[in-house]
Amino acid sequence: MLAYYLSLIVLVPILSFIILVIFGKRWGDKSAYVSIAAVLISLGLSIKALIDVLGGLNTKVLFTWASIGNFHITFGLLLDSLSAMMLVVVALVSALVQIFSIGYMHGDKRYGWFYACLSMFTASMLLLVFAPNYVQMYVAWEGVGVFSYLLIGFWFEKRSASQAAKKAFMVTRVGDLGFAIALILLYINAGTLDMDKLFAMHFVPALAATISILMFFGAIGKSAQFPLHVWLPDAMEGPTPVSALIHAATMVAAGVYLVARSYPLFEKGPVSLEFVAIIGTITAFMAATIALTATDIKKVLAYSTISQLGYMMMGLGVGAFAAGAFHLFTHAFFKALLFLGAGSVIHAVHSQEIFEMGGLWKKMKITSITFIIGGLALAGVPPFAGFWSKDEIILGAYTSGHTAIFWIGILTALFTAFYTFRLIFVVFFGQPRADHHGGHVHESPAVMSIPLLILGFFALTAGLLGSPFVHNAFQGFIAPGHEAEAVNPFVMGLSIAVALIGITAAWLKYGTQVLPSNVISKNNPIYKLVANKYYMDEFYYYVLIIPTHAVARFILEFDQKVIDGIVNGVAKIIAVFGSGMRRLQTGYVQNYALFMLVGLIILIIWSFRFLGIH
Amino acid sequence: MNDIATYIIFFGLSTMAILSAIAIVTRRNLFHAAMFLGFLMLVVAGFYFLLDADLVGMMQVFVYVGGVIVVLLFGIMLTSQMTNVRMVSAMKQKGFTFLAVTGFVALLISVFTKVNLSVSTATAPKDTTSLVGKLFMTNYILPFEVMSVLLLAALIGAIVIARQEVKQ
Amino acid sequence: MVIPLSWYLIVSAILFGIGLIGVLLRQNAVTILFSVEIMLNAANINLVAFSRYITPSAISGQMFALFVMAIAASEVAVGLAIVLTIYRNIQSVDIDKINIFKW
Repeated sequence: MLAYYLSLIVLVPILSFIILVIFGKRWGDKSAYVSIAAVLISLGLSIKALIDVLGGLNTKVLFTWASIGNFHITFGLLLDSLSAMMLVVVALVSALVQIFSIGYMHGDKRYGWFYACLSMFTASMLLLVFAPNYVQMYVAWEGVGVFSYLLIGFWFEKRSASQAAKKAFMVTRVGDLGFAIALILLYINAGTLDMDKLFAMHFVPALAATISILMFFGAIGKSAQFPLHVWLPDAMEGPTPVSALIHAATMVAAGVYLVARSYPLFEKGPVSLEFVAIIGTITAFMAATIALTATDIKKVLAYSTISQLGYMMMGLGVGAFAAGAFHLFTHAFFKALLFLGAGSVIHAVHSQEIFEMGGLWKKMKITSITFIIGGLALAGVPPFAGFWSKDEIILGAYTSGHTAIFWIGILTALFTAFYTFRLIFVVFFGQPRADHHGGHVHESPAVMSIPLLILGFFALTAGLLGSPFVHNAFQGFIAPGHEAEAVNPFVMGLSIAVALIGITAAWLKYGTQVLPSNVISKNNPIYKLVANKYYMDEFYYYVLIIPTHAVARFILEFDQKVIDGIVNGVAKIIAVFGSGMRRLQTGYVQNYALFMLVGLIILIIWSFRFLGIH
Repeated sequence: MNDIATYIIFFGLSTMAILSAIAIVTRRNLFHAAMFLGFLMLVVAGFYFLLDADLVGMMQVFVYVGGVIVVLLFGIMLTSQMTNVRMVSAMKQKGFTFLAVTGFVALLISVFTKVNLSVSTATAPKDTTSLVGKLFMTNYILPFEVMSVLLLAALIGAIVIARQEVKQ
Repeated sequence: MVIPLSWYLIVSAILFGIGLIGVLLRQNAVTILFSVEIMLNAANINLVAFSRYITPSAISGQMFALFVMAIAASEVAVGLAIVLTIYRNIQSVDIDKINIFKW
């Protein structure tokens, strides 16, 4: 019974995918209901699973998938507190995103295909969450990658969209290579890829650290950590609901989930956790600074996602495992909310440039209110969701003695508050900047605003689950061994203070005209560095792409000149031989007769000489 | 018939045979070549008589000189502009052909002279005609019948091939 | 029996060689037919000579010679028919022009 309903969580969206691939084109707009029904079933079953887990269930259902000699690849459903939590988050966000998409994608010509991809994307992520061994995790991991590729490049007629999809796929592939090497090393050294067995084994710390860091490369790719974060902003080319799904629950969460799931392995090689913390910190800080200068609403949110993922990694790295997982949980809600809100805004004004918006507060009340809730959660203002989890992480850094990481985390929190409210003040307040579409702006339909309200509710309340008021219930649930730190008034106060300072600064700069508009010159080298995203794309372009092209061109030349030359040479030799031999076939009967005579002479001589006929 | 006369006859026949054969191959005029071919056939018939093969000699005269040569002359006349044609084919194989043919003939002659054939001293039967007739009806009955079928097939085949297409 | 067998054989070999040269070098189809006849006759001399010298009483060589004559007659008939057909089609009996039978 248990196995049935757990497998249905994954199988129903897969079934929906199959149905929609076949009938999606014919059913058009109606295909949405198939996919939404499927994901709602998944959600219901996930909630049941979560309730079971809360009731003390902790189980693993295994099927043998393939047996090669002694190597059994099992396929299973691992249900524990972490996976149950993720199941609910993934299914809930996916359900809301899909409902939202009814309105957002209305009239798109590949509607059925869109929902098919969403179904399978969700199914892949659910499968990944369920994975009790690394083989299944890797398969699902790649499934997530493939469907993110398809969804980012959904509007593939746009060249930038297909380029972005390719970039996302290629960049995450770099990380996946590390993941694959880690799995190979694990199998060589441990002989198994089952998580239970691996976590129970004893590893040399250096080996464990090597494997963990390689595995973390996979997470760097998928969760867009420095230096492989470059794909995520470009992935904004996809439809906005897809961005919401990628950013909130599925794609980028996979990396964090991998680290969280493999946490016992990371702990065996503590160096790797330091590495995770440092990468997370760099990512969080860098992405926050870039977000300060971005002017595209989705890009700002994309960099904020990278920054928040950096926080999660930071939390996991400094040992605040529960805090990292908690931030993953809360972030899923408020980031999905922000993206869907952004989608609603884009849907209304048909632009992504924040300085073409403004004054939307008056026209889009629901969107504005929910967006501000999301913004407050992101900025880390109590009692909104983001505050509790972010505070936990910073507290973790503080108590574990990572002073530098702590201060950078605080600074990042300041930036986060600033850029979030810069966005809010520019988009929702002030005067409409571009008048030409001002008259048409109106609130989005109910299918779009209701998901916003639901997410708004969670963004407001989800954090309370892990707050000191309920004795950090969430952390106790997820990680019984990693109890939350006691409340530290200094850290909490600092955290609230920087959030408020950031909001105030944004208000002074963008909400009023108190601060002059040219506080920072556009020609300031630091500004230019940040505005150009630290020249990471350019760095990759010159360091990787140009040499790759050069090598490829060289290989092309080599192939065309040398390999083809050899092949053509062989063919030419045979052709020359053939055209030489062709002359024997003159077509003149007398010529043939002459050769018959020659052959006869040779036969006679041969028969006398060698056969001894006398 | 004494020995000397036999030698003279043999050498005379050989000389005439070789010369007429050369003439057949080299003459430009096909009509002349056909005449020399007829003459060669008669010379060969002489060889047969010399070899006590009366019936074969007679058949040689009847079939070749009386039949084949006539047919060939018809062929020459039906294909006009037969005279004054190029002697040697366009294939540049003249020297090599002479070399190969000379080598072949030399090989044959060396074989004939070197090989020791067991010559029987018995005399030939005088009346070969009745003997051949008997053999045709006994030992050689199957080849004989096959030959008759072949001749019939050649007859019909020649007509079919050479027959003018009926214009619709 | 005063003349050795090999003399006949040598004469027939020479005749055969001449006929062979005609077949290989002449370009007129009718001349080639003539040359084939020479070769057949050379072979016939061989057969009859062997018959006379080796199996005088069985005369099997003579029988063969008679068969060869019949075949030669058929060959001339069919060969001429082919030559005539070619002539009708390309207005020539020059076998150099009949070289389409290649490749």
